[in-house]
Amino acid sequence: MRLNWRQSSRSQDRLEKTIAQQHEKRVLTGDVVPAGPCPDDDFLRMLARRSSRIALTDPRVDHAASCPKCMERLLALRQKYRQRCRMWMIAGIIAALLLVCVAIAFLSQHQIL
Amino acid sequence: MPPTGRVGQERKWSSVYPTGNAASDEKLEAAGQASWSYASLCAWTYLNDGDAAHDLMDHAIENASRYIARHPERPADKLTARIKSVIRRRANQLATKNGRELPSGLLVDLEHLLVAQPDAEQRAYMNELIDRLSPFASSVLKWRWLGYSWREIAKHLEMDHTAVRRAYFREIESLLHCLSRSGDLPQCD
Repeated sequence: MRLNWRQSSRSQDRLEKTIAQQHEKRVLTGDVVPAGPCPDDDFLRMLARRSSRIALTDPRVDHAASCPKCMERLLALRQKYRQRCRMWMIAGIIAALLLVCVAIAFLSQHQIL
Repeated sequence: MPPTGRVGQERKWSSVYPTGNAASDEKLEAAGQASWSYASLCAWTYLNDGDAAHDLMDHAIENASRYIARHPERPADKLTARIKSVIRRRANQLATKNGRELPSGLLVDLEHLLVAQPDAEQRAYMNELIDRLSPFASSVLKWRWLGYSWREIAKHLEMDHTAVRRAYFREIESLLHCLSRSGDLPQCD
């Protein structure tokens, strides 16, 4: 069977999102039994940042994606991480705008423009 | 294998699409006979459906009859080559069309189900789907939920990212297909 990715990729993305949401619901309601002990907070923090130091075969990764406690913590950390990223982005944009303003002021003062 | 019609009788290609010229009809008949086995081969190879050989031949003979009516001087071997080329192109087109319709259709069906069905039914359907995932697909689902990209997952699996994505969705398509056929569920495991 040949798949036409251009035509069906949107459907696939939506399907994937729905499946991921359902997986999240199942885990949070305790329908999935996690294997092994819960990892520490540092590991979850690295996982929320998708650190390259974490191997996907690590059993703690599998546990974190199927334990309600770890999943809740991961969701909170992920939101925090996203907020921080957004803040840095806004700060970067403001800094860039300030730099442009300063450059324009400097150039106009020296009558270069 | 001699060409036979859908009801089993021997088929005369030139009588289906006559050119109005006895010599051209003869050439068309000979080329049709020579191309039949190729049509059968293409029907199985591209479409996995032996009966599709008749449709491929109909299409090719219609094309060839117009061609020989325009160029009656062309020899039979040229006509055979043309018929074979048309058969191959048509089989390829149909295979592409089928490949596009099947996955999209299943996904669209699922989307309709997700919109139309009550929440409890949706949940049961999705739970059934997730429970039936293979260890590979189950791991991919978890990694994707964790936010890893297809490229990161593929790098870990030492595969091409399109191959991983294709394998994952192919499994989901196959499960959706199984779940949509009531009564066949045990066979899908």
